[in-house]
Amino acid sequence: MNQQARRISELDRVIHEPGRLMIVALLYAAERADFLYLQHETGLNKGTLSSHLARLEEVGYVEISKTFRGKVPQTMLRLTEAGRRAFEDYRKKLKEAL
Amino acid sequence: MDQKQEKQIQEYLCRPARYANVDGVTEMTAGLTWFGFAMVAWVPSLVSKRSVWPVVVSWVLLYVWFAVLHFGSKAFKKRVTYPRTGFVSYPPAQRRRTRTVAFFVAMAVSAALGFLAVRKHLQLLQPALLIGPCMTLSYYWLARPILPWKWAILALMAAGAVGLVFLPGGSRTQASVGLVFYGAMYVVAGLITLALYLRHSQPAEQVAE
Repeated sequence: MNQQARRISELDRVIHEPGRLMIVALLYAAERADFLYLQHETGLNKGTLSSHLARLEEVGYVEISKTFRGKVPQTMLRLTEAGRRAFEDYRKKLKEAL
Repeated sequence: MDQKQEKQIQEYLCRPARYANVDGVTEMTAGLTWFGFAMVAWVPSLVSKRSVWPVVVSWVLLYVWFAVLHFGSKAFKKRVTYPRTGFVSYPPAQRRRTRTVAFFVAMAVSAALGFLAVRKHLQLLQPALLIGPCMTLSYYWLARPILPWKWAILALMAAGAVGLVFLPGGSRTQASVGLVFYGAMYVVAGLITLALYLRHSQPAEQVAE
């Protein structure tokens, strides 16, 4: 039990938050996705999604780029190599903790 | 924390792949592809069997048809799907793997049909016996998650597989009718998916993100 608690404490806190976990998992299965897709799939509002993405960008897990689709601004998102490794590591540790 | 969390992660990981058919375009494209193959099976039977040109022309038309479907579905996604529910692109490795699997499945089915065409005196193995189950199973794989109304489509497809076996007119007729039947089923399913998608989604507001 003690060991399980220790393993849980070792989990990446940035990814462990449910909203960010959803974002990272969705981006892991895609090469790139835009803000609208993530908003649609996660059901989060723009403000919450933006703050989660800002946190993930801050730790280097997500790369954010601004482009245009015609005249419409588009925010493209991609999981970085560090983000992919962190997610894989998180899942490994989660399985060990269960 | 329990097994539910890992299950939830698995579910998130499946979503981008399922999103490819959120608008029914994949189902419709597959159905229209089967129509193309039916055309290749049907056109040569209308003209002189001694000439090779009808076969060549029908294959050229098939590739033109594939190009129309490929670019048409891309244009549809760009104009309708992406502005409503967003854009996703898939990892190159995943794209290659899917294409490779699709290629080998197509090769295996073609080889089996070719074998049957050569050995058509073997009445135990008719193309219809392969087309029905193959189309039904590929629909099950393509159209996930299987919503309640999609089970009705699957049931019709399974009934069609049985019906094809008893269809008179030889293996060529069975193959052509089978391809048209399953093509129509895929297109109808795609149209229902599209109608539901358009009903439940609106173009997003164009504001800063």
